[in-house]
Amino acid sequence: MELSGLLSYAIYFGTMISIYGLLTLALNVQWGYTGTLNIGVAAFFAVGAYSSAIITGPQAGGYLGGFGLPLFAGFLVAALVCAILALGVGLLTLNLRTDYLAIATIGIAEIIRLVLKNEAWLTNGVRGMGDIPRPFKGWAEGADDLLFFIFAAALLLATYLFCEKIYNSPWGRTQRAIRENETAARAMGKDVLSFRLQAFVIGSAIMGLSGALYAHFTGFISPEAFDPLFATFLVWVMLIAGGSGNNRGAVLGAAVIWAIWSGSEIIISRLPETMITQAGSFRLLLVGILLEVILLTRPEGILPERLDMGGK
Amino acid sequence: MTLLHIDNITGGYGSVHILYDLEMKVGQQEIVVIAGPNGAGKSTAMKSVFGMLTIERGTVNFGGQDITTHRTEHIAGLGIAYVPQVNNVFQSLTVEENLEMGAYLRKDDFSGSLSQVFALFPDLKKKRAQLAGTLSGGQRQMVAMGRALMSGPQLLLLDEPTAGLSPKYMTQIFSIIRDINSEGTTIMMVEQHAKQALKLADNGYILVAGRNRHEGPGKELIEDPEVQKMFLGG
Amino acid sequence: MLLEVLQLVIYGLVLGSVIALGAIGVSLTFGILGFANFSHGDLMTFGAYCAFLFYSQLALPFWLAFPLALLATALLAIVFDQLIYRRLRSKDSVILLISSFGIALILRALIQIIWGPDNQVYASGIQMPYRFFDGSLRLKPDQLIILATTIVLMVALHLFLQKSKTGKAMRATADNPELARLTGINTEQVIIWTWVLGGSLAAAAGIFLGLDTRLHSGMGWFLLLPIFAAAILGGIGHPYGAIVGGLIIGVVQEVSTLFIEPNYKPAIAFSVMVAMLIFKPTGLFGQKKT
Ligand SMILES: Nc1ncnc2c1ncn2[C@@H]1O[C@H](COP(=O)(O)OP(=O)(O)OP(=O)(O)O)[C@@H](O)[C@H]1O
Ligand SMILES: [Mg+2]
Repeated sequence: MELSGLLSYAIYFGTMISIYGLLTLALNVQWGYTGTLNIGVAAFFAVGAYSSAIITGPQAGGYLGGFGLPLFAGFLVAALVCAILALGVGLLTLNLRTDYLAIATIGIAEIIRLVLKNEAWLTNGVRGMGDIPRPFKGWAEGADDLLFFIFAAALLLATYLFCEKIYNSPWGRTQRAIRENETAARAMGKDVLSFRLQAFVIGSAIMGLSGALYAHFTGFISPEAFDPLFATFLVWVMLIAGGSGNNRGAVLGAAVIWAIWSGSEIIISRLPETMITQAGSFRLLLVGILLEVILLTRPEGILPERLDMGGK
Repeated sequence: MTLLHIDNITGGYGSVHILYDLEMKVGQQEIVVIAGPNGAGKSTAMKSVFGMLTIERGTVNFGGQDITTHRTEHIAGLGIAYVPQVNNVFQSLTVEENLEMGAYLRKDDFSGSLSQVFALFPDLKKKRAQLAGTLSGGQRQMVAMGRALMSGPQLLLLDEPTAGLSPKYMTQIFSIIRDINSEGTTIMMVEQHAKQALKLADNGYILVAGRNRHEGPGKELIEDPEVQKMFLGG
Repeated sequence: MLLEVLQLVIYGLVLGSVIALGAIGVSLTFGILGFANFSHGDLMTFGAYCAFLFYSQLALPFWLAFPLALLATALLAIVFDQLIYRRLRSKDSVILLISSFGIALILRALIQIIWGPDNQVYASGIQMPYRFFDGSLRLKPDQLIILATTIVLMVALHLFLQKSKTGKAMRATADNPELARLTGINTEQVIIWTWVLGGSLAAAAGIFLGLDTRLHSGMGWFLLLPIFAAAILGGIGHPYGAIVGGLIIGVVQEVSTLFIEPNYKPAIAFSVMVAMLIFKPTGLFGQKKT
């Protein structure tokens, strides 16, 4: 009992790390590679989750669904919808200075949050969407969680390998050149906007995959799960803690911060009764302080980027 | 007596070097002119005085004091004023407020300086309540110089004070510079109109690719055939 | 129809006052410290809850609770600056932005811990609105207080910025930080004053928002988008522009409810902002650097 409890917790833990690891890798492609500041991670995460849920879900009263397409199609559509959204947003805003871009992305996130809440015909509004197909159900008695974890981890690994490959390609070098000195990159004849756009779209598509994975893992999604501040913020802390620019750092950051995040739940559950209702706030406070401490003491993260080019 | 001594500095922006072993001296009450092609590092040399560069080697001395690592904010207080080449006025402030900012560090009554500046630049007096951002290029240049003079500096650094001005304005600015100098202010300036500027100069430096290429009294530099051929258009 | 629009314009001016007061601080900190402060909304929330503490919990009179809340918020802003932002000043402005994002979270968490997660109001009970034109035009006493106090605050701000040496230095620094430094302006001192102004005006904005609606821990964060929109509309670093921008965004948001679903009001602010950034990124009153 004890052991199996521990095991199932480990499986849950691993799956969550895979989901967040995907988000962190995606943000790394945008921020770490190119220096594109996306404060709307939660929006792409949510769009991915909802897209896949709608595509693969059963017919339910009152909102879009009933396509019943296979899981594979759900993931594909999730990535695609996010990519298209990113393309639109990017064409509109990527020419802006980084800080303006950040402001624009919270705007996008805000609008998507409003759509999720208000367009009940599409998303069932605040009541959320249930009955999202859970893959591997009934494949092996009592092991479907494990199978799901293996699937999630494989997706993470594949994404990691993909991200590493593009990082080390000439494309990745150009991205870093843009990040380090946009003017110089432009002078060298690089189409800065196009390169930025590509990284933004790729990153957003990966965020969509992560959203789909999350939807199929929990089986139920509602706007609350995609609180912009919370979902976006945690991913940022993960990336900065792990080391932006470094894919291994990104995944490591996701694991470490998720461990701290869930560890804090255990500590806080021991707090006196009266403070339990505030447990979430204490955890938020903890992660906020953690971010500041990292920024002040080790801004390059646990695993800093190994720069293959001189200077900053 | 040397007032400013840029002593063999090598440095630039971050890790990128722009200046190499640069050596310049400005004597008390002199006018020193720096000329050279675009991108030679003339503006960068001026910024080195104001603590705005990373200086790898060498020192900057002012009045016998080593100011190499002084912070930009503190340098104005030592009696140096600087008119940058671009963005050299507070656009959303009026002309008069720009001048007041120039006197920010002064504890004494600066109304005397204000009337002096208005005497030098009568145009500004008429436009004192107008926003600096709405002025013409030449008028802005006057505001910028006026602002610098308000601190009552010993040394005035001017980066291309006549850039983009009509010949008439240009002559006017040059004669004002001479007036300022004759009242005791030492001047170091970068000029593209090297010929006219060197005529005023006690000393000149020709900078190429971050190094001193030529130096000497202004008149001699004008005569120098190589300088003539390279920078003064014959 | 005309009265209906007029009513919305009045509501828009009330909302616009709140946005404008917030946008002044965002615009000044952006201009002077060079980063977009994502914690400004939560600073507003903090101010609103401070007033709740002094007025509703400690039962101080409102005329005393109000300035105390402004003071407390200004102090907190300075503490964050000295503790965190000051140490990051030499870094890329994006690092400061991310750090302000973290401070937003810390602030919100603290507010939830201290005052609990539930909604609050300053005083319960329903206010009878003043009615004009047979009741087709209404204005609550609180809204009148908001408009009047905003005017007082803006006049005070105006006098400070125009008449005092520090105020002028602040405008100069926001306009051109580098030129300010080499003119000898003590920028660290200007920064402290910027937080005093930005923090206290944020608190006023938060209090007014709480007065007009109710208090909850996300109230400021959700206003961040229109506030940034207002600051950008007015031109970063231009406090007067921020005021005009705030009033425009407020009115446009309210009037837009004639045509679109009220839930999508923030999308209007967003559209105005993006259009501005694309067509005239320096804002209505900003000028291109030469
Ligand atoms: N802020 C900066 N960061 C990095 N490099 C810079 C910066 N400012 C100037 N440079 C580089 O330093 C070099 C010298 O520039 P500088 O402005 O000193 O030239 P200049 O001689 O004043 O030219 P001009 O006659 O055009 O004013 C140039 O290659 C320029 O690209
Ligand atoms: Mg120059």
